[in-house]
Amino acid sequence: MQFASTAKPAIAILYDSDFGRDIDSVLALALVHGFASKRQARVSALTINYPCLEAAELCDIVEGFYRKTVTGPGAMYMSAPAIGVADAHGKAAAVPPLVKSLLAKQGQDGKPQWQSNVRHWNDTAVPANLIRNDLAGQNDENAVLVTTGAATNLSQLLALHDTAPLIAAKVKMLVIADNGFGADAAAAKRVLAEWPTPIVLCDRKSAEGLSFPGQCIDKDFSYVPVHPIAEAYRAYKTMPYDAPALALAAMLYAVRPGDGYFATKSGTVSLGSDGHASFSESAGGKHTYLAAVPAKHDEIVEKFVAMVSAEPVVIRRFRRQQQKEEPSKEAPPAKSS
Amino acid sequence: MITRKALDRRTFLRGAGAAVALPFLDSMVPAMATAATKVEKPVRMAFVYVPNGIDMRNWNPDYEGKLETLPRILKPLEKFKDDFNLLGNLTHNAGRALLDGAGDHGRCCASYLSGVQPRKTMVDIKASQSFDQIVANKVGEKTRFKSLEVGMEDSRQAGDCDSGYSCAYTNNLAWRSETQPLPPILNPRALFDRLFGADAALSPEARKRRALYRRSILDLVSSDAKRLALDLGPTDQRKLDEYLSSVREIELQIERAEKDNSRIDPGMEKPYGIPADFAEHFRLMTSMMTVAFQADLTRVTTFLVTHEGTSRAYREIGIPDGHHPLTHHRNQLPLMEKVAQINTYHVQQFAGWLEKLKSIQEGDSNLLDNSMIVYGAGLSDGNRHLHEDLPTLIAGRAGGKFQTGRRIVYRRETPMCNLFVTMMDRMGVPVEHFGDSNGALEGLDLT
Repeated sequence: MQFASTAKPAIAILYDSDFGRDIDSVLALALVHGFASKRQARVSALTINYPCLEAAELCDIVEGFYRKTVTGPGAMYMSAPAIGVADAHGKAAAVPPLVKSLLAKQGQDGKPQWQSNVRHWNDTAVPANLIRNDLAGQNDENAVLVTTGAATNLSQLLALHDTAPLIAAKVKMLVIADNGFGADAAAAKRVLAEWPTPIVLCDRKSAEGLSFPGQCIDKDFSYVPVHPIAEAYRAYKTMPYDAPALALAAMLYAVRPGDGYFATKSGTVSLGSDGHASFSESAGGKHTYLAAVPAKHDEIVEKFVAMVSAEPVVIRRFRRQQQKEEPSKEAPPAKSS
Repeated sequence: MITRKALDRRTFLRGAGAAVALPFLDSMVPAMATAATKVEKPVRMAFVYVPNGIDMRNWNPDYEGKLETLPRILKPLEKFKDDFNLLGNLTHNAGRALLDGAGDHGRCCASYLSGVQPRKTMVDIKASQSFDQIVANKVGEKTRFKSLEVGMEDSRQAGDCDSGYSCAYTNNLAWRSETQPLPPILNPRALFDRLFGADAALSPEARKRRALYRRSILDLVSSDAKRLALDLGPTDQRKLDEYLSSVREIELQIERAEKDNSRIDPGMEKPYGIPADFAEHFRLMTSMMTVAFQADLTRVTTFLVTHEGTSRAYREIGIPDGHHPLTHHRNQLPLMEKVAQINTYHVQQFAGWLEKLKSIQEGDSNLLDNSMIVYGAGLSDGNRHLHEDLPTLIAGRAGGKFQTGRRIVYRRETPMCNLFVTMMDRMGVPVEHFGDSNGALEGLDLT
């Protein structure tokens, strides 16, 4: 008979993204689900940093695709996780074509292909509250926040009362995939100045030479008749094409930082005049810059394909909740800079 | 020229060691009072807490905006639907496990008004001062009692009541400090004595004499009442009569309940003075809370109807099963039906209290209008132990500040503490934040 392990659970990934604005942001979510199916990560909180209800609908559909694989007596104790979306303040963002296309997709019976739990704004969560509440339930230094898109939600997280100590305790690092991080300049500056744990920057140069191969879409996702990730890929651009992999690279580092896929440099990240984050190298700098190791490119792309297309594993869930980690007798590992 | 002085708001009827506070009378308003100098009627605040969550299928309507057809559990409130707001998606993150494992019942009750996750322990308990006590410390300076803590079941303060959580967590709502919960008064007689028996001021002789002759407390103050009546106008005389009659009615209810108890075999040991009948007990406790509000004895009360995790059976409505086991129904419809019946029964009792509050005139409004009465639970779905979308309704207009009669659904993960921050403000105790609040609740105020 096997007993449930009391070891520290897999790393929690909190993903704050511009989900659906490009295919990279969608693939990155599939990537972390691939790692989750191998119990190497947990998808813990999902927030969207532009005010688009439809993007949340699609995000919930993708989540639903993976959630359906949970069975067992404990499955009924799992409620649909909330999706956080940046507040529209009366002016919602335009719905990206990818999102529009997938939500309009019909099944053979003429009904919508997928049903989302998200239909109204109050079906979504306030992003800062969602992230804060999620972090409160994590073991110390066992969460990584990955962001692609504007820094709005993260800035609002920092504005919550007494949240900085919580972030400092729980978040191992913030990994920024710089794809519009500076679109909300004030928010980006605040995050760079006040974020209390290591910041890792992954920009276009970091991911140069990396892409997600479109040729795998038709063969590697065919384990279900209609796969939301494959459909999203087809909807984003006319096939065939290879997708950019900036968010994928950032997510891969977030889950597997020690696998040697990336070289790192210390320095300082700041917000450039063009709205992009820029990095200046300096010994002892408190930020980190990533660069994919050229010799590992093929291996990285293989990993992307394997994890993004990984078939969800049926997880038999018993009603066991996370426990506090037993204090280790060994000295804690030093924080990465 | 009008020279008559207004009656002091703090006037008591006194006699033989007993003291009875008076309700709000027109004579307490200065004759030539302008709008600015008019005596402002106090706003009262109460929490009515029911345990083990609610059958949310029958609590949440499928619409927002003006309250129309009420779901089954709320049907007893049909005639009050212009008097309350039904709030959706309020969350208490502090009630969740957050690495502390099982014990949702202990956590949800202890965190409900304190806004913090309690320490998982049976010995060195720790939560935080609850927000009602922050308010009580401020507005309680103006009343005889800072607050009243009332309950109907089990006030054990020690032992393990939920997976390692002390019974102090499941059996108390109000916390005076982070280590000091305020146990509720369960016995109507004790509550009556506290409110009207002048407590320590009542001499042993007076107490003995009352017991000996079974005299009404009103008899003791009758000569003072007669003297006061001479100075009152006809409206105030009627109000005074009604008020004293309601005090006497409560006395008689308690006496009747105590007599009935001697004839009922509940099949368990039962403290003397507590009615065997649930509805009667509920009515007695809320009647006394009404009088306490009416006479401005206190402005803050908490009412723990039954304690978290209770396995009380409801034989009075044909349900011999324990409440808590029923809520773990695993989606079996017959069990869910019984939970809905219990939930509805509780709301029926609550409706009786609202009726009473609404019937008491205060100037051009009524006691309910001048109150904020929250009815709710620390869990939504008791089967899954969910701490989001907590069932919450708030009755009363906070002294004319709230717009009522609406279903308001907030975004998910909106802190329950935002409601508390709003209520503190309406009680005249503004704070920047409480617990995990991130602002006040929008949509309650008159626009």
